[in-house]
Amino acid sequence: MTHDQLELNIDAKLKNLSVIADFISSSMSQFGIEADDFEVQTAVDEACTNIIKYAYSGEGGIITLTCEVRDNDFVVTIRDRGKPFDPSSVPPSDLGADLDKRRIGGLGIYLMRRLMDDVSYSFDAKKGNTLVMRKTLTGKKQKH
Amino acid sequence: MEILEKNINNIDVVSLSGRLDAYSAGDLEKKLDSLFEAAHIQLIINFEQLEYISSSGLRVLLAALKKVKRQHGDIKLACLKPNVKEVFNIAGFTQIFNIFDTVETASKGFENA
Repeated sequence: MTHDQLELNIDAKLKNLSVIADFISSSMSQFGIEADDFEVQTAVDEACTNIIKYAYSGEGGIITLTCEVRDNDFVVTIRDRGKPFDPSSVPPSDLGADLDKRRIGGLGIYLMRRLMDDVSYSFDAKKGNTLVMRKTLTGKKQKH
Repeated sequence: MEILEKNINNIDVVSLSGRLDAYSAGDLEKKLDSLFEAAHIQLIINFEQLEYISSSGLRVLLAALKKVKRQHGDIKLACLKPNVKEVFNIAGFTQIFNIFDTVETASKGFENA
């Protein structure tokens, strides 16, 4: 059986990050994607961590994740109703800096962008924050 | 995540298992801070059973390394699984930490220092 779209609605709590990781892993396997799931898992984990900590400021709310395959892309859409939070507004991490100069922030967003092929953010007063992350499945999608 | 710690020849070996994410990073931070308060600043962190690390975990490790270096201690890392190693690579952390294939070679790194 194939699914057009898989959805998870979950409380924005840090303890649920492992549930979110399992959802990504099982979605990829239900879509017959053989690629290693850790890159998408990590990118989604970083995005959801930011939502829990910054968009909802740790006060809770709902995160809605949907997974689907569009053309040759695995697409994860993450929605929340917290404060507007645009990942691209965070300054990039200074990766080349040595230990003393290295800043502690910005790393999660850097990882998201490196691990996915495209990350786009939008805010709508009615719908809240929407983050769409795309991973191209060149040669990695199993034919049904 | 589970954290086990034992002291071998004045080196603390901290073994992690499971997921080091934003949920569990605070537990590791507390554990490491308690070691630093007891002046234990020669550490090996054994990643053999660690399945996953996110930037929250990297952040705790970076802050810990900065703390021990100020007191002339060190943190060496051992037995990183390929996915964990890749996150270290992408984040540029392989240039900051000394990473070894086994706990034994990491402890030899302290002897030769």
